[in-house]
Amino acid sequence: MATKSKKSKVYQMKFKVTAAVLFFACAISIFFCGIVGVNISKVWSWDVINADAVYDTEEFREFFSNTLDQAVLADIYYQSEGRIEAGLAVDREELLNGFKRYYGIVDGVITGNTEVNETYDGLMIYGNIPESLHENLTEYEELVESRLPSYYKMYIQRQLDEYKNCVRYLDGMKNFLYYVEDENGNVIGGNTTKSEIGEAERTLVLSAGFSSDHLGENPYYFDVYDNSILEKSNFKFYGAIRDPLLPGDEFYDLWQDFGFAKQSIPILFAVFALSLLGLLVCMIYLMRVTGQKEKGGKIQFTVVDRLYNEIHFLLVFLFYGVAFTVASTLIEIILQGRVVFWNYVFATVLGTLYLVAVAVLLSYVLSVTRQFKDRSFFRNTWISASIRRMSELFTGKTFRGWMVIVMLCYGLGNCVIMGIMVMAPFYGYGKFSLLAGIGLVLFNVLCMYWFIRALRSLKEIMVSVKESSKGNFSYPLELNKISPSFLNFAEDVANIQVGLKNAVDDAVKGERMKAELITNVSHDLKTPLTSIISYVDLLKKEELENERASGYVDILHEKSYRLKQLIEDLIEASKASSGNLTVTKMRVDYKQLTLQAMGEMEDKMEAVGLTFKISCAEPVFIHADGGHMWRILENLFSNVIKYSMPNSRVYVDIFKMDGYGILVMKNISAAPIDFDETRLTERFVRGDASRTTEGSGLGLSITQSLAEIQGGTFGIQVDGDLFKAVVSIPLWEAEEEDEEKEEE
Amino acid sequence: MEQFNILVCDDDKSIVDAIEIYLKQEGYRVIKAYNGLEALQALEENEIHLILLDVMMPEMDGLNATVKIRESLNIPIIILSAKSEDTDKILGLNFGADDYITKPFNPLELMARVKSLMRRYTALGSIAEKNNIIRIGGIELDKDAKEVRVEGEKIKLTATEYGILQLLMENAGKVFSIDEIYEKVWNEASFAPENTVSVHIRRIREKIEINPKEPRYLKVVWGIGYKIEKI
Repeated sequence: MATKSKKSKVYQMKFKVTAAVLFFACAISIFFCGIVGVNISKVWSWDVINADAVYDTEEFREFFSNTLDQAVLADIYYQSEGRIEAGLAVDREELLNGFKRYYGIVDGVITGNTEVNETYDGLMIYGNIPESLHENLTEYEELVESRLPSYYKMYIQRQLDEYKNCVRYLDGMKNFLYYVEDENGNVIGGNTTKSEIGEAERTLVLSAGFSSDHLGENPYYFDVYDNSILEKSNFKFYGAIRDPLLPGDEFYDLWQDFGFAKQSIPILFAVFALSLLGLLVCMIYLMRVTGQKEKGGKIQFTVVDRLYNEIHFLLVFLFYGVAFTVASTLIEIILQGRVVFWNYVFATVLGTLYLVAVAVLLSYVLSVTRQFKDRSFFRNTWISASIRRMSELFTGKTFRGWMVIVMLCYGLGNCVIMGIMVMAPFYGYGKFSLLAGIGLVLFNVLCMYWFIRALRSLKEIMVSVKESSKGNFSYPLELNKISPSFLNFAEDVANIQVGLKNAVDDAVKGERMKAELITNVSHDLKTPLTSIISYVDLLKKEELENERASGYVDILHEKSYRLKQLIEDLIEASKASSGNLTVTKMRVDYKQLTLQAMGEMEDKMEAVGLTFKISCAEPVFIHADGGHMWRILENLFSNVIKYSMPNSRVYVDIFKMDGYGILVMKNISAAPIDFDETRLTERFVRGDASRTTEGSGLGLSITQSLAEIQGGTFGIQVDGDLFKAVVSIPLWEAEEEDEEKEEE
Repeated sequence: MEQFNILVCDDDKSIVDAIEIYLKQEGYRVIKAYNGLEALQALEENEIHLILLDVMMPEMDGLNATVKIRESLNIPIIILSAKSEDTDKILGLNFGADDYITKPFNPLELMARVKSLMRRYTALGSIAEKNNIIRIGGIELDKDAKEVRVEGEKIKLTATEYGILQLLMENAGKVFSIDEIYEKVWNEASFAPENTVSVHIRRIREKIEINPKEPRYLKVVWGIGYKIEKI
């Protein structure tokens, strides 16, 4: 290949394409060689390659022998029309058998005791024919008398026709020379003279018992000329081929065809060999450069390379199976040559199929080559992939390697026991078969037991994980009770639990520390505040000369108490939100609680002229901490008192719903509500942005936290000026015992 | 009148001084200490009738001092503390304190509590028992006179308030629900949900308690009812 001259360039795309085109060209050339070869082989067998002359070929001999047979038939068997008409060429047996067959006559008593006469128009009776058959005899007699003469005439006519055909055939054979000699040396038939045959180079003499063959180079096979007619006669047959041949008969055609074949075969072989060589070279070149852009470059794969190699091979194999079946059928049809038009179509299909097959082969070979070059051929097999997948299961930490062995042992155990069970009777140990059967059951029961044990430990792990998901991280996962197959898994789960527990503990600890910090800071604030309150109070008692000064003292007095309230709220808020509060739950009457709370707040409500409307259709008992509930209601009521439209009504509804005792408090806001209701429960968010009114901004936040630590919810809805607070607390279940649940 | 000595112990000098002013106004004599050890020393050196003790102090804290004092003395101890948790209060009272006041306190409340304890410590114990008088802590309910005295001082109650207080005091420690109180005091069944009873309770508390927000006697059991604490 010219492309190999420069190594650096051989990986270029244009060379690859050229090589592929060349490859296909060679393939096409091989295809045409095949077609020519098939055409030659239609006429000639393999000996055409060895034969020097047409006379040496089997085809020539066969044709010659056929012609010879015709000549023997015409000139020895029939000899002349007159002889046929005289009935001299009649084969009596053949004639009578044909007649009997034609009329369905079966040989038996009648035919055995009779004979047809020489003129074929009557019956001669020799033996005794039983009375019972006389009727049949008469019938046979009538048949022979009436039908046989016409059958005889027909027979003679057929012989005449055959004779004429032979003569006509022989007349056409210009290059076939022969004559027939009787035992006395007189020529009795033929198309030539003794002298001409004598001059001829390629001659043949046949007679009963003697032959001489000078037709071709090699002594010929006598059996070809094994002619029964000649064997029965005393005639001698002299045959020859005219040399040189004259055009116009089939010998000449054969000779010419031979010449052509003889000429074309070497060319054919040469072209074939060259094409094959080209094909191989192109393929080797392509194999070398495929998948790479430079020497030693990274292998680039195509889509087909992703197929598992077994599957790829099977697909290619399947394609070739189908292709060969189709191709051989087509070739057969074409060679039979029955439908001339379709031959072109079939040939086209065949050619296309051939090209596709070549392309598939090239693609497959190159794909395999690429994978070999990348050393990934075996890795890219389904078996390898499966093994890898299996080994992933059993190696590493997920499953222990010996699990494979255990499984194999299980399979092997079953096989062995079953083998014993099946084979034992053949060796005469029938008892062992029964024993093995029992063993098989026991073995499997045992294995099942182990399996169930393993499953149970899986269940243990699952339960533990479920507990963890509920937040119970201290659910014990006893590793010593876990089946070894899940031990790694269980350890991982245990580690996760520990990790989660630590994380949650840290979070709780952090939250608690925060609450403690706030509490401590608040304590430190309280001590100086005590002094402030005391001395402000003392100041108030002093006789102050200045009116304004006493006004200031009043403000100091008020604000110091406000500060006190703020600090207390802060502590409570931090405790409530961090869950750092003791919750003592008991059976609490929601209605009574509300009435008590209202009693406590009654004076303040009256001061702002609020009227409360309570509706409670049935007793509602909730599972709650009364003290915390009071704080919730206190916050809500003081909220209402602070922000309600004066002299309006406040509605309080208490009812049960979905396992919760629900309190809904509705009031009309004095100021338009222009803030996001969801933000109200956040700490330090207040209804009035100016923060002038009393309150820490923690009230609703505390309320929400308190509701939540009691397992309830707190929500706020705003609809225009209507402000709605909803406190839902779990109902007291009659079944529950009066136990006190303590939560830190 | 005999002058009583009160020991005020707090590590914050300004608080001690402020308390001293109030106590002197009430006619008490004040001995000052700034930590637990000083307090114990002052106790040895003086005859003390009542102690005001801070909890968080250097050297020796209030709780330990309380324990030490209780080893030998039976005088009233009031703990003053910034710790306002229920657990802190319970702890302090269990250690032997008679009262627990959280900082920041109202000076007037502090004075009221001091007086209350002093009165009981010095005078009340000696008063002769009369029939038909129910006494709980500093509260006396005279059923014959239909009078109520708190720390010896007569207070004015309405007939309903008196009825409620009598019911609760006769059954000290027992919790009465609103409905029960209504039925027993008004002598009729309660129908509509009303806050009448709870309003009366609040008013009673305002009259008998030093700090109505942190009642010592008339307690609310939230969502269940009311009771007078057995003291």
